Amino acid sequence: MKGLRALWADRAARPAVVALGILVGAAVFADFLASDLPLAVRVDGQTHLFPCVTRPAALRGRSQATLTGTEWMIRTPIPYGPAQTIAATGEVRDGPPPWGPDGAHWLGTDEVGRDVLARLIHGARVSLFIAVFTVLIAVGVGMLIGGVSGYLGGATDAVLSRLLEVMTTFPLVFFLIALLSVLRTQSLWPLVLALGLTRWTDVARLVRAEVLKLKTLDFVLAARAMGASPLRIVTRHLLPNALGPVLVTATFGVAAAVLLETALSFLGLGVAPPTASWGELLTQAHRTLVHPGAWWLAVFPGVCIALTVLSVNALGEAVRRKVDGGV
Amino acid sequence: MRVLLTGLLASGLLGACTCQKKPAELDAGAPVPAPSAEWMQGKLPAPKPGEAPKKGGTFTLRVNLEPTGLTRLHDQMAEGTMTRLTVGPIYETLGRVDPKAPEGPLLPLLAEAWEESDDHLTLTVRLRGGVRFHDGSPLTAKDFKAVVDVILNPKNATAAIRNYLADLDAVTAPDERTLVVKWKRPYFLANRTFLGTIPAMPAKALDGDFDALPIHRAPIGTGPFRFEKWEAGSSMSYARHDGYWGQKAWVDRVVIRFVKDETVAAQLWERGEFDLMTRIPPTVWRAVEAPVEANRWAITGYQRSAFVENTYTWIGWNERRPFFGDARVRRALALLYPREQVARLVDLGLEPPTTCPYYASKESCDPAITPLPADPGGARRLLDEAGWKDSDGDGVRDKDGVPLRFTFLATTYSVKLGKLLPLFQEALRQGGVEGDIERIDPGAYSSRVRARDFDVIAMSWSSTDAVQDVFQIFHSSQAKEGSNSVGYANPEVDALLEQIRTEFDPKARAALERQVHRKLFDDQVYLFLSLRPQLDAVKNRVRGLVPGIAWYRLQDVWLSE
Repeated sequence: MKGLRALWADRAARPAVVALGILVGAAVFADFLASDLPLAVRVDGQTHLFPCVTRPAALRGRSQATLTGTEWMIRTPIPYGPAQTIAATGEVRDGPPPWGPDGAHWLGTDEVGRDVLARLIHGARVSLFIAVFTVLIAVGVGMLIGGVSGYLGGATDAVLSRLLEVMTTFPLVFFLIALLSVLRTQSLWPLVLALGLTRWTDVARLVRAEVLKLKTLDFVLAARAMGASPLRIVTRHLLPNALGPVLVTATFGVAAAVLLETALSFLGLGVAPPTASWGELLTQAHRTLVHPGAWWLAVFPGVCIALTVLSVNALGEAVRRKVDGGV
Repeated sequence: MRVLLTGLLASGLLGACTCQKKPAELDAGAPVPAPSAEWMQGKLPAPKPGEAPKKGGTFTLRVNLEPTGLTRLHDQMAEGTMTRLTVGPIYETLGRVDPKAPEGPLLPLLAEAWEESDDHLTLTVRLRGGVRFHDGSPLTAKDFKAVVDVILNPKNATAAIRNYLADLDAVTAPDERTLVVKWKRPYFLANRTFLGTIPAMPAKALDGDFDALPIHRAPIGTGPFRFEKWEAGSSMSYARHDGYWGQKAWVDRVVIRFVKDETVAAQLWERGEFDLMTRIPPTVWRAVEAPVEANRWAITGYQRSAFVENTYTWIGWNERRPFFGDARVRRALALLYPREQVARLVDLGLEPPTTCPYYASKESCDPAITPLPADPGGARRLLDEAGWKDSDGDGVRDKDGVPLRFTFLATTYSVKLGKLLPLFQEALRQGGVEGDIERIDPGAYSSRVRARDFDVIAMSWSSTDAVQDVFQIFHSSQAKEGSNSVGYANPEVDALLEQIRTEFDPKARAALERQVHRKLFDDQVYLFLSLRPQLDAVKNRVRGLVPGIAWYRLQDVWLSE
């Protein structure tokens, strides 16, 4: 909270904080904002509260568009689910989708009639989920390896540094494509793990350098003289002091992870369909941009990606200014 | 970064698109004419009276894949799309499919005539005289024997084409112009396959290490065009062979441009870079139809060509899985398939539905069979009857603790499946069936299919001949390693397929094939989807292109300007 207030005080970072706040809000409350099921409904003599989240079996196969015989219903602001195609909404229009923005679909629909806004909101959830957990894993692994490598030095350091160099020289996208072809599940975790376990190198290098610097400082020597165990020295004295730079890399890492996820989804290797993802929308945009000219499939996800990356980067800058003591 | 770049690239394309419309603005003001009925249907116009073919010019066409080699023999290099671009223009076989009557007997090409013995075990071919290869050497029966020897050599990577010669006993060349082919057992397709598949290649070009033969990448044949050059990653060209034995080609040169990306191809097409634009995606095909200024270039500059090849798409259920062994379940899933929606929204009304594994316009298909209409109620009844009920109230049917939940396997590149599967997925959910989608790259896809490691696959089968044998696809003996990847086994179908192999009378065979069609439909082995159309566009100056089961014949093409 204190950190947030400090960031808010940084005027340059304020727009970024607002943009990210909206994005995180959309991601967290995605089910309340855009869903095929309503916020609340009374139908068949039963009242359902937040069926958009609880998804009761009684409403299976029904949606806000097709629910009949309701006594009352509170709709979600966007009455479409992210994966709801025209097979479920039953919409009929002159031509086939994609349909442009209008009163029913504010940002238009994709090639199978799914609402673009609903997909963007739920896509934010996917993007942020992947980005945050990727960075957590990367930071965890990076701090461990960097800390051990820097503190122990010698042969351990040599081995771990070579491992780090090997990881850095690996062409990341190719590695991920290969890895994702081998892993076979429908959940987001393989993607998160794949991204996290390849993105720890920056953190590790940074932590190692910090630890190398810190371990010769007096307070560390003092701790050692007092008989503190290596584990205690690393976890209580070295890593907490290396945290500042790590925080900066981590924010930039979020931006990089969002982009990587989009790139992989663009290549068709991201989240399993029909899960919404920004990159998946761009794939469709690539096919439909000129003929028949579905610009909305490119522009809106493009804006979301650009805004996210810019905001996170601006935030990273602000954090860096704080850590460096303000420039 | 990649994604941002894509966004930029996309807007760049938009910009390029508006610039490109400038030439058309010359006659701007004049209203864009409504396309003719022929243009809408994709029927190429009949030849104009009084126009005589003339020589000269370069004919440029787009191909969506770059091959790894230009050979029909090598397993890793033979590729469907390129086979038809080489077999025909560069390579010739002894006989060819009659484009007007593809189910009829083959027409002689490099053979003058052939004779089949009464027991169907010996084929004697008389070669045409005076035929020379592009390198100047004369064609003899020994060349054909050399090709067969290369194919039969187990050390060579020729397993795919060797399959066709599995029953071959011996090939001999008693003299320069006579070839005698002997078979171990009678098979109705044996001679037809031999005559229509084995390409004429000069014997001396086949000497040496098979994998490294230069002829794989620089073909030498007897056809109306000779290979000129291949620029990897970009294009390939053929030049007219002036020493051709038959009707010489009209155009000087054929340039094949490899453009994989659909969007880029459509852009280049709009810029007028192709005389023949191939494989237009249905969305683009439909998008250029409206008579508006933005479509003037397509409506006034091109003729469209839509034709159905002998290719059908299907969804196959792996019968080794607990749910798919029961034909009632397969039928129920077919009843849930949103056929009308897919036809309207994905195929855009361009893909004729089919239920038949044979050439659609042939007698081998039972005309009484029509695709199952979507019937969710009927599907639910069938699933109940088969014991798949939602016993735990989670909305997904189950039986003996196994939920009716499976995974569709699709390649990352399939645009059609990318749209079709989400629609199907939702329709299935209405019936209490959960279908996940897993997309993987094409290489991994084929190895998963080969290993039978899948629940549901969607693929297509195609043939360049109207006479075909589906033994490899549906006989139970092919379940382990053949093309029967879904593991279908029905003793009655097995017996019919075996009987067909030795039935030489086309009428009697068609009657048997119709029974096969009926049984496959009753068993719902596949959910047959549709015939895949070829959607092409031809520049106005191009004459003489006639689509057929074996694509176009490039030697007939000529340019009016």
